[in-house]
Amino acid sequence: MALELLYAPHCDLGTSDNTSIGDSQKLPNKTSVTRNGAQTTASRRPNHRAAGVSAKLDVDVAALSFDGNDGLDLSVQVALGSSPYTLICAWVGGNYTSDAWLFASNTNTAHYGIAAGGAGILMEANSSRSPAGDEVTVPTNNTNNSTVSYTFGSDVEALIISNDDAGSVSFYNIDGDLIASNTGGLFSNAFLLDFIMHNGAGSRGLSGLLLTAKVFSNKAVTASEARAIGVSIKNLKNED
Amino acid sequence: MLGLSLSTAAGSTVQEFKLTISTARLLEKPTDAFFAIRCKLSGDTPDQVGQSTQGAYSRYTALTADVTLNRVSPADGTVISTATATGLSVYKAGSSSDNIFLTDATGSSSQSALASDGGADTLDMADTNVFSQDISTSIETQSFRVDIILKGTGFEDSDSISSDALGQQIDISA
Repeated sequence: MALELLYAPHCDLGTSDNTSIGDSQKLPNKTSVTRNGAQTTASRRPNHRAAGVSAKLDVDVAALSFDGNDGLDLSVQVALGSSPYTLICAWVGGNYTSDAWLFASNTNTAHYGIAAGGAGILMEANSSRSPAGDEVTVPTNNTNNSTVSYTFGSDVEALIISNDDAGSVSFYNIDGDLIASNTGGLFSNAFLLDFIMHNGAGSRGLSGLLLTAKVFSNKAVTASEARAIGVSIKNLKNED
Repeated sequence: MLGLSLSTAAGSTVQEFKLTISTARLLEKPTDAFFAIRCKLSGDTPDQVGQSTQGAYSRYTALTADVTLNRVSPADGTVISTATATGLSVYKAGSSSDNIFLTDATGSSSQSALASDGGADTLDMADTNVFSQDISTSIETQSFRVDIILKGTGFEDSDSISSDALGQQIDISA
């Protein structure tokens, strides 16, 4: 198991509010590979949201503000899929008017995201085949493929994606509840992560404040581990 | 737990105020084995210890904290390993906040030092000058729970309060 990427704008307390991240932002991470969250296109650059600005967050928690057309382009691709992997994204103030891609590849438009309306998961495998390799929407507002019915809201939220590399993918929310799952052989294909919070072209992004994005290789988190991850994210909330 | 209580010392009756904490939280910092402990004072405790008159991110010189850090199984909360730290300093957060941070620092501090990634006053799990042993490992997605007792001169010690029983994740670098 390896922590391939950890972006944690929530604990960047040294940057002034509304500061653009620039074109080569080394966000906090502790991996052996330095991956910048670069964005060469000025109009796609998210802005720093200083601690104390969002009433939904604790006074000591910062964030990175995306407008739906912003996104991060990784300076070094994360090649996943030859073993289990886990993707974690946490945000607050999400706007689900349109489809929102959280993790995306430059290969075959593979991605994971949230369906418009906030009541479904988007997933597309790395495959040129159709229809098997087309985007799939898995509803979360029922229990057909989950243990709870769930719709994402405007408070602090998280999506924890656990891919077992055998074709099964589980999706957990901030409570560690299984909100969706899906199976399909193509989901064991390589997932070559290039973009966070958009599709690589400055669209299909989530409008909201990013708190953290985290990627593990060689590890598909369990439900109990997802719960513990969710607790860490909940701790960023304003308790008052 | 909450409110004034009476105790007898040296033949006289004095009033002592019991310190109370409502929540305890571990906050991950991405760099190495660093983390922060944030708690919230409850009831009248902030006023009793001078919250309203002190500046932000200053140290409560009359308060200290004893901390037990547990690495736990996220499945059932079973404790895998434990480290203790005694006499940690207590810093208030914002001037209007009842948050406190626990740290081994003793001098002046700031929001950035206490809570930012790489902050000089965050706790280092691997620092055996602070903790009784280094319980950090290269295992990622591991979970931790913290147990805290707040102590103060002129106050009754708080009851022990814990963060989430099943632990929360803190990533530790290899």
